[in-house]
Amino acid sequence: MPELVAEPMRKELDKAKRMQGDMLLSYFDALSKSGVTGTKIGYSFVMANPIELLATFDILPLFPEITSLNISYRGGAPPLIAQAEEVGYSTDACGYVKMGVASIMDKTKTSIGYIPKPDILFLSYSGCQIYIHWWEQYHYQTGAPIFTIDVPYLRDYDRHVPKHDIEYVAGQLEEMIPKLEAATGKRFNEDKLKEIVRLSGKAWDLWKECVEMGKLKPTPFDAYFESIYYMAPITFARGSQKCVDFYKFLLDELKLRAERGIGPTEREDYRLVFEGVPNYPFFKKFWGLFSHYNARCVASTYPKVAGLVDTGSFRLNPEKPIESIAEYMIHAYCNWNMPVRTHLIERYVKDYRADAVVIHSIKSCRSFSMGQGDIREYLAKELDVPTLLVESDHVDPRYYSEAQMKNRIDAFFETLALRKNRSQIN
Amino acid sequence: METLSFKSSFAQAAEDSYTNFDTVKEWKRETGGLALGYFPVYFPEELPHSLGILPVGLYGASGGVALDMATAHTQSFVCSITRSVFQMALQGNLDVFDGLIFSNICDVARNLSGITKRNLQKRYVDYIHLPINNNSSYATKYLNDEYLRVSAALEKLVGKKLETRQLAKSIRAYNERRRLQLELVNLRRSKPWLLDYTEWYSIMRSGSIMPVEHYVDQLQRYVSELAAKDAKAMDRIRVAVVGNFCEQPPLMLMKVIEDAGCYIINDEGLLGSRWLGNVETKGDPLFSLAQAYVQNAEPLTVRFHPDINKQSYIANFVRNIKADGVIFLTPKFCEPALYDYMIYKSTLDEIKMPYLHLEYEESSSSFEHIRTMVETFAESILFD
Ligand code: SF4
Ligand code: SF4
Repeated sequence: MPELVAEPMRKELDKAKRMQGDMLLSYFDALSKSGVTGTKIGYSFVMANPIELLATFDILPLFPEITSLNISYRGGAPPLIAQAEEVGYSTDACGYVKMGVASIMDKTKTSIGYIPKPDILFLSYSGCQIYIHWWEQYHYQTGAPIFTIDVPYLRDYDRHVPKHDIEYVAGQLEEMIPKLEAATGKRFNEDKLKEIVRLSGKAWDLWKECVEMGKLKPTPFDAYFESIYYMAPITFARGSQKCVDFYKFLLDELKLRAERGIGPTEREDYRLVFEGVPNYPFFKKFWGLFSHYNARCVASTYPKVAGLVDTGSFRLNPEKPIESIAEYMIHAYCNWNMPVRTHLIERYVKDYRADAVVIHSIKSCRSFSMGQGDIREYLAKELDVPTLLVESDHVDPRYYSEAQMKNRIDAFFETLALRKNRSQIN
Repeated sequence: METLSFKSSFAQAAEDSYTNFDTVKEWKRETGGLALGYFPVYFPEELPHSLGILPVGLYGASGGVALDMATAHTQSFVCSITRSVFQMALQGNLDVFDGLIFSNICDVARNLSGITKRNLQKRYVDYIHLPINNNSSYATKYLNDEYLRVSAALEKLVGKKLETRQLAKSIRAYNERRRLQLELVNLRRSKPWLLDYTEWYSIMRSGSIMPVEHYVDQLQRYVSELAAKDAKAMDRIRVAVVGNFCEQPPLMLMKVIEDAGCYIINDEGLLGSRWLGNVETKGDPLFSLAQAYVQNAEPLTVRFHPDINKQSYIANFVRNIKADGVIFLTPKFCEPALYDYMIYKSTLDEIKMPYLHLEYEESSSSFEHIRTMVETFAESILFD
């Protein structure tokens, strides 16, 4: 197995990941102490959460997607999945739902500790229909109330959002304010919201600059495998100064890497665009299958689930906090329709000068994966972009076959090498 | 004789609704009108109808087409209705439709809408986002505007304007269809021995393809004849089938359930056609149509409504229809059905109502194992 991070940058220019890890630990710590501190826990989704509004009322968001992926990354998914399947959940259900439900069953201790139960379930229905069903499971399991924000899907194939969508989402956000006042016993403070929105906007701007560093040739970072670490604070810490500081630090680190011409692999032989959710239980092994070929990912869609930061679709504006949050909520990656998603990948290939596209399709998630075959058909057949589609799961190790995965990836790089040689000769 | 002739027209229309859509082709030839295919579960058929467009449900090919082309574009872990509908879109069976429309029932159908658009570039393909925050004061206005958006697209397609009077007339026609279908539902509940599932299904399914006026006319006669009919009840258990609201189970599977000792007194097949109930036609009919959707507090697995308590709903429901047991019949890979199963089953455990969980695919054809399971289930209830 080759080293994932090239020697010269190992310590000095790879500090942001550790910083993110520390932030995550203190966030988990705050969650685990919520029982003592009396802080209200609001379960939220990664896609389209109005975290700015929650933070205004000092509600601590818990993202079962983030806790589950971290449990999974540490090898802790199988016992939770088994526990859920034992009570009747299907093998065909999303692994996140199963892990989430099992993680708050009596006496369950996960690989990241005890997970507190929800006080409120914030259902931001954007990008995933299973969100509804998942929250309903929790609702009947714990009795916690569901606070809903219904976010219409992007239906237009030219990315136009009708006015009534924004009015509807903004209207619901307004309606939620008195509910939050009642649930927390706190008065709404508009200035506080504006300040949080301002900080949130700053973090988004910096994160955008970071992801666009992938345009450099060579790219100073892996826009899929490293972004998995970098993308977390924009969800769980957004709206805080800490979050802004993190992205400033990351941007500086990436700029330094670029200046010194170093990156996550020894060289950059291939530039890839990635689509799909990663494979958390085998994350590093999976990464190794690509870095082995000195392949770097230059752009990817998954880090945009929290918000399509690089498409100019939304901008948080402290002068219009509610409307701009509403706009943001519409533009979660999976809330975009398939042709628009496909064209985004096409644009990435062009703008980031990529050699190929890799699609990692996961069994659990139809929201992401249904139709990925069509993306491949379009890229490979209509645009002649080499495209590899591999399947496993984001949390369930039963769907990962190391040998098969390696064979597919090896064969793909063989084709890419041939293609490269041919184009050099030409 | 009379009964037979319209029964056979139901059967013929139902038969056409899988892969050939001859009824639609004939209607188009005769009227010169356009046709719109809609994917289940609920779709406001009144909108196209009032513009003279024939709305037709796309309930899958039930094994009538190979799924090879579709599978390459979708994902392996998806239900069969999405693949059979997509296969038909790719290989031309759906060419008879001038437009196709989907809604937010699940992520699979949602993404299906997009890949259908990408593959049928020139066709009108749309997607309705039906609201889920139905106790928000903004929900009805939102849906009203959404219906206006879709109406505008349909107006463009057909080249004429939607008229309020016409829309009210369409709503009345569909109200009548819903009323008659519900009458049939109730008849089946009280005297399930009057018609078997195959007959019931062909009557319901033909409603998804026949022009509504013609269908209502036939159904009226059918229901009154059936109500006057007499037949002998058999010693069978009364089961409520839950979970088949979108992808349709093979008819053979339903027959196996009946033959194994059950009366199917309730099922969710083609539920969307009658779920909405009666819609007010006074005032602004478009707004009323939106309001009827938003305010309907009957659960539908593919829709969330903040005011619905699914646990008390299922407990009351099985009690009211005097069910002896429940069969959860869920399409393979249909997550919405699988999650509601979890909620419902916990209540059934509490109220000690027996249940059985079975899975199917559109093209399943071997049911021996299922027969044994259902027989055991029925016997355990009968001899309890
Ligand atoms: S279906 Fe996909 S998007 Fe939805 S919760 Fe599961 S993994 Fe997340
Ligand atoms: S059968 Fe289930 S998963 Fe398939 S389209 Fe219908 S609701 Fe979606």
